[in-house]
Amino acid sequence: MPGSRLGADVGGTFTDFVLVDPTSDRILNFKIPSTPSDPARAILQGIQQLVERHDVDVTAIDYFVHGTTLGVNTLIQRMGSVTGLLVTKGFRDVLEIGRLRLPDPTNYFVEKTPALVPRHLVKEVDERILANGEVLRPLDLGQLHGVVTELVELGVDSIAICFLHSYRNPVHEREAVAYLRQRFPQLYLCSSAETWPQQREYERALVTVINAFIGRRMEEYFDRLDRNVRALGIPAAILTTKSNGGIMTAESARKAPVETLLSGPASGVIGALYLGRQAGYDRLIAVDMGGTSADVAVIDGDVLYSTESEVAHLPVVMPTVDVSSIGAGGGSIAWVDALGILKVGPRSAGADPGPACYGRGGTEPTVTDAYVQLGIIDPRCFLGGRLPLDPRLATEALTRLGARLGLAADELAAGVLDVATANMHAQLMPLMARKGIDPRDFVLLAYGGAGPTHALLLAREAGMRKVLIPPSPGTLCALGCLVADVKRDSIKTIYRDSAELTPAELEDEFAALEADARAWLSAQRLAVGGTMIVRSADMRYRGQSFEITVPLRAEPPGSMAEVRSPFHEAYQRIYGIADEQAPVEIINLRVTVVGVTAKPQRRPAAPRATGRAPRRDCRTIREHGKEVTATVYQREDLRPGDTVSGPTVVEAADTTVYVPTGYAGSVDGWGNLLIEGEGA
Amino acid sequence: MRTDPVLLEILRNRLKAIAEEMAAVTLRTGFTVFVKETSDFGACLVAPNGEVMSAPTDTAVSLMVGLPAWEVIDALGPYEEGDIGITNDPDITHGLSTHLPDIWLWKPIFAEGRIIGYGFNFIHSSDVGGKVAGSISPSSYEIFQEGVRVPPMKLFRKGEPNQDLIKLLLANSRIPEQNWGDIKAQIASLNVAERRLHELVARYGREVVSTGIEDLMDHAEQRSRELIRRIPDGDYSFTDYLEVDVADAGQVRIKLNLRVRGTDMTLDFEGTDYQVQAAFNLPTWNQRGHYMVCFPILNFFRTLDPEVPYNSGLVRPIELKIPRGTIMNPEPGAAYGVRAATMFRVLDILNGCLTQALPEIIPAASSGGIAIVLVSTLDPVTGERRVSVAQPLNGGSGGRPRQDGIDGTSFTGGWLRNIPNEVLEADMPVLVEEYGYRENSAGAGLHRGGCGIRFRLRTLAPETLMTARGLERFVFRPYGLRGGKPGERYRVTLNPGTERPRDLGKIDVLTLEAGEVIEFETSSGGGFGDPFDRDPQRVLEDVRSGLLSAELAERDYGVVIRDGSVDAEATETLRTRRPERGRELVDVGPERRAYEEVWSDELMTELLRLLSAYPTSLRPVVRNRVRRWVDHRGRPVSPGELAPVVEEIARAMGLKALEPEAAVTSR
Repeated sequence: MPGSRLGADVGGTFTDFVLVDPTSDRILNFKIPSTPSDPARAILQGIQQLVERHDVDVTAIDYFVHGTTLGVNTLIQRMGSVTGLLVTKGFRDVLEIGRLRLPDPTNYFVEKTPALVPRHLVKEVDERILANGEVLRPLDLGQLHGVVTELVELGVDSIAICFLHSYRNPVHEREAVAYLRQRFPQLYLCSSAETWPQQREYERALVTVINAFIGRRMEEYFDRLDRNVRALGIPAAILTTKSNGGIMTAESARKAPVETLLSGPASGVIGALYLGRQAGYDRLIAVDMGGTSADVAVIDGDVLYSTESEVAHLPVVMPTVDVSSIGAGGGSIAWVDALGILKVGPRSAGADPGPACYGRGGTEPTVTDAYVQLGIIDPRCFLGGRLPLDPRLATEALTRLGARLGLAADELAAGVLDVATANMHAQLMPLMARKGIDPRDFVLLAYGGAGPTHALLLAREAGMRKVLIPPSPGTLCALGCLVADVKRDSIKTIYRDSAELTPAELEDEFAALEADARAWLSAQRLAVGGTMIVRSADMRYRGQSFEITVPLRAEPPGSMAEVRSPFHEAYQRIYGIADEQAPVEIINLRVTVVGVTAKPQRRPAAPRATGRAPRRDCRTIREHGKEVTATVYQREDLRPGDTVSGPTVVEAADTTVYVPTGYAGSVDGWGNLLIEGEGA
Repeated sequence: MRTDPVLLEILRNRLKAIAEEMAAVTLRTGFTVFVKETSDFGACLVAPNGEVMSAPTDTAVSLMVGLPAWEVIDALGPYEEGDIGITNDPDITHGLSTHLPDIWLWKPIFAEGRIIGYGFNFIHSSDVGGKVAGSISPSSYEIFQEGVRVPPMKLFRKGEPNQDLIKLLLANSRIPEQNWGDIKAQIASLNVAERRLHELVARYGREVVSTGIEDLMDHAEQRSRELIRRIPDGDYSFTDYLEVDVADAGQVRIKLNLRVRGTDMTLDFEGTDYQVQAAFNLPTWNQRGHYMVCFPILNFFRTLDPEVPYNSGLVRPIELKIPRGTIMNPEPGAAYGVRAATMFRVLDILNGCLTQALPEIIPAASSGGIAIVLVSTLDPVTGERRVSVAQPLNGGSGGRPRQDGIDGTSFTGGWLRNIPNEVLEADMPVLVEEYGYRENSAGAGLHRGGCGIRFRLRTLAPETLMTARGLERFVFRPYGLRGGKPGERYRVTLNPGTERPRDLGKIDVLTLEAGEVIEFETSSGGGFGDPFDRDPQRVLEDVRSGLLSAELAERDYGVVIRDGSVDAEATETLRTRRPERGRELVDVGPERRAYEEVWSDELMTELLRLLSAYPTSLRPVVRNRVRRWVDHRGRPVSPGELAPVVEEIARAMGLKALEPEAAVTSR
């Protein structure tokens, strides 16, 4: 009998759990408040709750994946180690200067993001390697010893090393690491070629520095978590999620903590991909709307990845699941500007004090207050009734603000939702344009606490016809943990004219990358159902300053023309022209190794034999200034095959689904609610 | 206001989204290096009356609001659906375009048979012909040297391309395929604008959208007036100089009187020097709210109110008075390539005015020299010349009322991204020896200026050409404010640290041999407030980080540092012993003070008055000769002495004086 599988995602406010137990064929979803000072504590509490409330035999858990925000929080709060940086002579300001561009060049009060390593802890080392990998000046170990001694005296306990062109020839970085390991064994060391050997000194130095900065705290965290989980009798090895949507062992995460930075949002998208595919859709725009913000990701056959992510206002070039913020969340505050125009956000009431209707002292109306005012959210049933809301406080807050515009509370509430939707739409459309995507060809998959409430409003604005609401929208990230594959990306900058490269040389480069990737995978010591190798290359026409990443077949190429052809095609697709005669350069080679994990095996449930979903209630809600009577269902009552027709509200333990007039929904075999519009 | 406050915010969002999407499409599909590396492109939506109704703020240069789009709209009408206009000519478009490399396209967008708005966009093309690759040379003295001129013409008629025009256009560029690629990116962006505006009309109705657009601009105007009201009424004057080291022009004075009355503002440039026989002229045509003059005011608005609706309603309260024939409003036919340098100097000058009214907001002068360094070598295999951006170089920003200046970059050109040196070295046969902050350069102050940049590279191949447009501040320093010291000047040195280093000054086109080294040290920001009031701990931080030497800490800040910490007692003594406290509003540095000993405001004003008696095209020539005469005099010249000198020089040139104009008029 296979054991049970546990997924846990530590978020800012809640830690979410999903347990799949094949013996009883049950899936448990629940959340408990996070414990930011010691994130491991919430995980242990959740596991205890499994035992105490749900009678789960934790010794049968043989697969345990968790996602942690410790790395990203350490970075955001700048609470990592005292870190030093070693650079090539002449490049002391590599972190300070960054890519030069100001975050807001028109604002006289703007500040640059302070460098993660202050200038006095950056030391220049006498060495130089050329762009072609030749050594111009050998590494001066005596001088290296001197500067590191100074850094240690200044209290540094972690050191990052980034020498120029080490992606091409890492010999000096390796020499330095070997020397320092021997002479300064107490230091946490990382070198850039080891961390992410991509050309571009700032970006490479930065990921190396982040790794060094958060490494120590992650080591301590994993040690503690491991001890505690063992003490509870869970036999499974601890796995952790990655920004690229994959997972790795805690052992690997200790060495490469920088790979966990964006794992939280990534897991949600992986969960969305899994559910979407199961439901028969693989072109999805996944929208996660919570208390403070709405995040969006595109799934076009597969998850889209980005190499231009930002964490704590710092660029991270390692591939991550591409997630962007599009503004408002349920807690976003409505206000009126100096000239009497209604605005929503960017300020948020967050969880504390929260929206006015929470009754925790918030007096400014929020998006959630507008839902309550309009009857979309039932104040008695919010979060399954666990958080009773006070509708009078919502009305008061809206009335107060509405007075300034000559609007009644109902009118203002409708305006707040319209403006919030317009804000999201205004962020969404340029974002999709940058990816070359037309939202009308996609299904909107909504999750997070407020996602299912707002999804139809956004879909209507963006011209999207179908909206998919998963069965447990509140714990999709934890589900994502469970269904993620073991995955690692690697890169090598080769920077060669494709005409000067033979297929055999290219194959050698790829083979070397793949050998490393496979070695990493087997070091994970995990049972995987199969291994996939994905090759791609960043190419460009010579003379251009930007590259396109194109997939290549994972087999020895027959000719270089065969390698170039997908590039020409991709170029044609994006720019409308291609020049088959122009010289093509290959900048980076990329290999992704995927160890496919076993997924929870479930069958679609059969439709309801007779009858229809019991409606629990009716209530009045306001749409476009008119009162309409909405049918109210409980999510747990809905069975496959059931249909609902707007105006309808579906109450659930973790969210409220709003189906406006003109839309109808049906439940599929997996418990998803698929909502379609008539005229959109 | 006819549109309700909810719908107005929705429309503002929708229109902003369209403008952002237009910019995003251009960025994704544009071809030239300027699009990807330096964000030198733009897009906006224009109302039927020719005012900008919406412009992006997240992508592209933020220079759109104040575009005189009516000039080309009128030139090409009537329009039919599917028409697309094209132009790049500053003269014929009266300042819509401001130099030839900016290729502008626009498309009328119809709703129910009537034009509801226009999409506009431009890309800075890497080459539009002319005497040098890249089309821009500081020493060009007439527009015909700067490339192909395209008056407003229809590139598409009812959706059909004008093939003859396209052929002519592309035949005049060194990089026709890239230009065509860029134009296609622009068309894609205009088509998006059209589709989205159609969707908006389908959703809300044509009348509602049209009215909403007008209301949004009225709203921006009101907002702008509210912000202007916060500036105390008064006349605020400031003068600064542009360094034109070609055609003998020397220091070209730009003078501004900023007049604020209630909710109106006038920018009067009377007293500004005449146009130059070099590519520094800024063709504003004195257009109301011109985008290249008003952008510092928009920065100021956005600093106070980041949510301000970004449309041309903002510039309605701003009147310009720019005398004709000056460097800021030249006669047609002048050269314009490097006009950005002039625009950046206008920002320093406007801020110099504004700080008098608003001491709590405006920073001291930023570096003022924003140079794009290009390097070009012969490919060893093909023999072709390859051109690449080596680095966009900026300097530090000025110190601010409550913050230090920003190191290495500033509010002028703050959108520029640099080139990874690893990429540069892989692309071109050069070795970067240093790319970092210029130590001991920041203008001292209570809040110090930002440091300049030092960029030193060695060429590895023979016949390496280097150009850098936008170099400035070699002679006069970026000014400090309210007791703050001025910043350090720009310096370009050939073969530094050798037996024969050469101070190059500004460079136009430089040819280097293999192994030669060139070093750029960019200017730094001026300080804000008296450096002797700066917290000694912050001085110590700069010393510890290596940006400031202990000697300068003592000299400029009165802070004594011993064994890595502040010697409080010695500091106290030094600081109290100082005879006078720096309180003067502006410190322009000793070089400019010395210059103005000779070229006083009165003398310069008199010279400009006397020159107005001669035809515009000859004024620069007479001017330069008179200035040489004065400079060689060896003693100050009084304004009264000038008339016979000017007359004699003019007579020697065979010129006949007309009656001097009583007052130089605006166009």
